[in-house]
Amino acid sequence: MLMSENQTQMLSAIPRPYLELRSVTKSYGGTLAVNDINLSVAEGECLSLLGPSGCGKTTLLRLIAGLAEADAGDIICGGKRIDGIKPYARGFGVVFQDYALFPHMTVAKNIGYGLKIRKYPTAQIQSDVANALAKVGLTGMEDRYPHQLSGGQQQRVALARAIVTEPTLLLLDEPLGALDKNLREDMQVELRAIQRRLGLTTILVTHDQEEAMTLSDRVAVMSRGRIEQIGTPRDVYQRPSNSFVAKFLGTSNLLNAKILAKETGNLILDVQGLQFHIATESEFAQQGDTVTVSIRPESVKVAAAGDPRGFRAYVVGYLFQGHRALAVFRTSDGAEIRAFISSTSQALSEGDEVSVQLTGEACVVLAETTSDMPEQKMR
Amino acid sequence: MNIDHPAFRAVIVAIFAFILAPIVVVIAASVSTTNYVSFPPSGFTLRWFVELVTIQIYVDALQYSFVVAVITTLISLAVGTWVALLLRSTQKGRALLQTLFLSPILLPEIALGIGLLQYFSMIGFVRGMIATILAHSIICTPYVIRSVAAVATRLKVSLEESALVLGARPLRVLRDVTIPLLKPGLIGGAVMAFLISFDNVTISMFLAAPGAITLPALLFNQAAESGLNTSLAAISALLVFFTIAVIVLMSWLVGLDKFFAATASSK
Repeated sequence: MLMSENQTQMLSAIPRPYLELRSVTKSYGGTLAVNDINLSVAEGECLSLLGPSGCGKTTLLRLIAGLAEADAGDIICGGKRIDGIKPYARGFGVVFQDYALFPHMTVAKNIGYGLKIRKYPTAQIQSDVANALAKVGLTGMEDRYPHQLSGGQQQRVALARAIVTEPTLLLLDEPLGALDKNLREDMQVELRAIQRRLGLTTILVTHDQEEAMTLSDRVAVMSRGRIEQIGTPRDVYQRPSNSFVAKFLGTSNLLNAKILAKETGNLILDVQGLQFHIATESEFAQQGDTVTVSIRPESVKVAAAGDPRGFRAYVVGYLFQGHRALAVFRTSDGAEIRAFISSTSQALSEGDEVSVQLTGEACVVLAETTSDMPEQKMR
Repeated sequence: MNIDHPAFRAVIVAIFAFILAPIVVVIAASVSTTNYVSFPPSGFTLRWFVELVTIQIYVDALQYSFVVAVITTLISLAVGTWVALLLRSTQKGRALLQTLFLSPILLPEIALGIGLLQYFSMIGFVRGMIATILAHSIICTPYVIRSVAAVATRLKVSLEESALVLGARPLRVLRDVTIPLLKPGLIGGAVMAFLISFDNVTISMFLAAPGAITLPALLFNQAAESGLNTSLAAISALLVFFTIAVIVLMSWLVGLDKFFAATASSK
């Protein structure tokens, strides 16, 4: 299966992983929240667990933190199996989705809590707290209480609290979820900078694919307790292994393609009458089969009607989005294609005829075969 | 139905007057110069209050009531908080557990008193302070549970998990995070427990022993035996003042709205 090939590749690609999950499984009630997960995280890397709610990503994070116990499988950190180790003994830093700052303690006491538990001398606690506050850009806020801080500030205090104890692993649960868009973008940049600077191995849970791609070195796309694909943001975005991944990361056009010919490493496809090569390693497809190809809206080229290098389609929608425009086309047999086009070029009107061009490099053959028109949803 | 309508207001005033009337009567009667309770009081004197100090049985009973109430409060707090936290983390048996622990409130005190009396004598337990404290704890704990649970349900688990992950062991988490944040519920529950124990009559009467009787039980006995004399009115008035003082203190510490929100809601 394509998925496990991918995973074994990833597992062996990391020489000495810092964290390893082997066949980790966890059920709640009768449902499998986490189903036979295998994962390796390298030291200093930032990995995102990306998926819709209910996919098991938060459960997985909690298993790693020690806040829940796996039903089966092993969690290995730094070469040692940590399954039986309690959360207070694992030495990881955790930032919860709601930040969970102690409301009855000042910012300084919140951040210094972990150090106090470790019985550090007061003077050192004070200086470490001051350093941590400086790292997150909140110098001077020691005596404020959490309710006196804005959302962004609370999040930074939560982060400072997690990193001040110099944890070996940082776990973040939807860290930027509660922030508004502008703040989120700023925080994404800062968070990435802090993570890089400290070289802290980080695992991040999010449902926001943009966040995953901005912050992480690798993304693990999850669905229903399983990892669908792991790879760098670019891999996962440009070469989705199945339609779930293709649809989850950004918009995607899913089109039926007929395999006209098959050569080693190469297929000749027919999409809407347009024929082109596509390089692919997939073994499963045979000549005469219909497969699904995915192409990103930004890779679709739109030319004037009648251009022979593309196939015919009609405009059914045009949305001006500021920096670009989204155009929706439909072919005569009902296939829908979305394309991003420059907002500076001429606007299109409904009913206009265009020529839609796809190239082999921009398309990806997906792992499932379909006989019907796949549904297409804008994210 | 308009709340501002004068007729509606008149009804509310009448209801409050009806509820408070006995207290007003007692306080008024306590300053009467007559030996027997008379209302309206004839004359004004505070000698009955002054004399109370000399009546040994009253002084003893007051002390006894106080000790019983304090110990009961401590036991109810400990057990009640533990149960409230247990309820928070239980999903499956929650309704059953809740019903079980809150059941003493539903039982008529006389039935409870008789039952406990029989049970205690069956196991060879003598009437008196320990029996009274145990019985009081049984009826006071449910109030602590409700008061603490109301606050506990709003306490996010992520707070305690944060402390755990930062290196605190469970008991430390309890001390540093859980208990401090449960404070309003704890104080409200403690006050309820104290007042219910202190003012309790029925059960205290059943489990009283010579020399070991609570003040309300004593007063009831005295009233039954020798009729109402002004000293009784005086000490009753004192009890009323004391209860009011406790509630005022607690409202200053915690806030009355929080207290009633905590005890009024039952989950």
